[in-house]
Amino acid sequence: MLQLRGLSVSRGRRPVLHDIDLTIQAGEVLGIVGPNGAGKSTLMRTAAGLTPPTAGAATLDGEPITRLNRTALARRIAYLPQNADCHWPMTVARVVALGRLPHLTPWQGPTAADARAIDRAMAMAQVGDLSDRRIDKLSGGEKARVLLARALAGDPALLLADEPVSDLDPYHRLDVMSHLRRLADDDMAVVVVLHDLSLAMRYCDRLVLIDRGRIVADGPPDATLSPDRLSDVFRITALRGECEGYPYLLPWTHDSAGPGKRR
Amino acid sequence: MTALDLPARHARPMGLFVLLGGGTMAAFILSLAVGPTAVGPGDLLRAFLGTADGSTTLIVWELRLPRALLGLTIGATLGLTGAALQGLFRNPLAEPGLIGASSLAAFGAVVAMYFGLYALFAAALPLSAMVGAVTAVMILHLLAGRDASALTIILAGVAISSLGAALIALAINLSNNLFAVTEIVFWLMGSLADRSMDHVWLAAPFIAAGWLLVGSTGRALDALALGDDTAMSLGVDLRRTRLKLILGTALSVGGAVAVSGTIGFVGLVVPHLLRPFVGYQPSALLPASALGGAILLLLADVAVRVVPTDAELRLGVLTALIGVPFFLGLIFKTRREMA
Repeated sequence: MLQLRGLSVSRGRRPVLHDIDLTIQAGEVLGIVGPNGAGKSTLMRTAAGLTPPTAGAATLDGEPITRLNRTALARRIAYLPQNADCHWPMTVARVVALGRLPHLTPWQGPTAADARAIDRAMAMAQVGDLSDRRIDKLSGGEKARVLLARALAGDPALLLADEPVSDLDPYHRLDVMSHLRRLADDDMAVVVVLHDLSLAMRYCDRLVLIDRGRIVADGPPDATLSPDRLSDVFRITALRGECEGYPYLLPWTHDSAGPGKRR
Repeated sequence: MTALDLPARHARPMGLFVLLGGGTMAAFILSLAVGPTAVGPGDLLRAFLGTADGSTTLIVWELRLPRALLGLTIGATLGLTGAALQGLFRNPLAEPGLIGASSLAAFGAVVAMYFGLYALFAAALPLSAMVGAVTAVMILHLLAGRDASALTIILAGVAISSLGAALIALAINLSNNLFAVTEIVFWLMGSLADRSMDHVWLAAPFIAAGWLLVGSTGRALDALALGDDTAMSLGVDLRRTRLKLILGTALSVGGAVAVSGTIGFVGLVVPHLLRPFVGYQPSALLPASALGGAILLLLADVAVRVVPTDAELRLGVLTALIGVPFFLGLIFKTRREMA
């Protein structure tokens, strides 16, 4: 679906990503992990077509995304940025409806098809009963689900979620991740940036590890987060095990020199 | 909840628009009727049908109609651009004066007065105000650059406004013509008195062009509620949206300032009052604020005619007197919400 080939990206004059090759497929949850400042968010922004690459190309089903029309791209890729929020205190139904903007005809209101998509998105994210509440009156977990519903309302083929669970308590982390899992099972491509390595192990089909702007591993979660890489890239050790057929991982000790002093 | 009741819930609040539309019409008629010589409803109707006596026809057509039309269009301009800029910057304190267009437009007009250009040809005043407004926009673009944050734009706007104020002060300072100074100072206070249809026709094309540009950004402003990145991911062309809003504001506010002088705070007060009634939806706030701005300015202009003062109260002075306490209250509220 989405292919990144030899992609390099700079922000200002500072190079952030180098020579990224990555293929994202429908039906999988792809996790992006890596230390702070590794370039995960830049990768997401580039995949969403928000930051143009300095070299290489991103193609969506074979078409370079820089050549796709903005609206056409917006209909297929939904992007949920880090710390997403809604500035004005609109109702939940209105916020979710914003996800339909790329599908609206100019000078025409939402159609019955838009309304169905909004309902479906709200049902998927389990926020249907909140639809008349104001978004500023919701709890953090509720708000995260509403903004997820907003992203889903456009019926995207690819969902890019940048740290969607970092502000949530354990219950809502599991809740949002299992929602993402179900979306992938319904054949959506889901890419999610995670700092919580145990969630990454538990819910992702594939993990990509990024360190200082380069992909250092791309494969099954267990193999990507091998003990060597945990110590090389994250400067931590972890307890590992298996439960109900899923591998799990629990960060346990950290290198006291800190991640800045490595090698 | 079923799929079918959603469009109904997303429909714009029609009741509000009927109310605002009716209010605008009522305020417009009031503006035609009220003045030193009151014109009753019957005379008003006859004046428009061409069957009234000479002096009534003259008052309605030559004095009241231009004033009411300017109140309508300038009020709508200030309300519309205020709502649009607040949507763009996601800040309820934003105002057309914010980007410095009003200030440099005023300076442009002052230059025309200072050098007596407008005595040579009448269009010099609005044209030179327009040049000021466009200059403000160009400086803003140079200062703020391509991917400027809202904060950069606000700071650049403050700098441009200060520049305009300093240049106006300089012009007054250097003037040795007391008559010109008096004229400039009074003009800066903002007024719709003694305007003719010539003023209406001079301002109208610029105001209309500005309305079209600003009015076409409704959906982009809705998307911007979710932040710049999300708006872009929803297909919004951020640079084009900003350009349309800033250029549209410069054109319409430049046109307005040229004929009325500076009238502040309408763009601040009106969108803030109406926002809850449109469910905080920026696109719906645009037409609502345009109508609300027209009502407020028409009524304020009626008020300055009936308040018994020796010299007629200036419209810009009245809106500032209403607006400043409101502005302070808004800052207080914003601060409390942030705490």
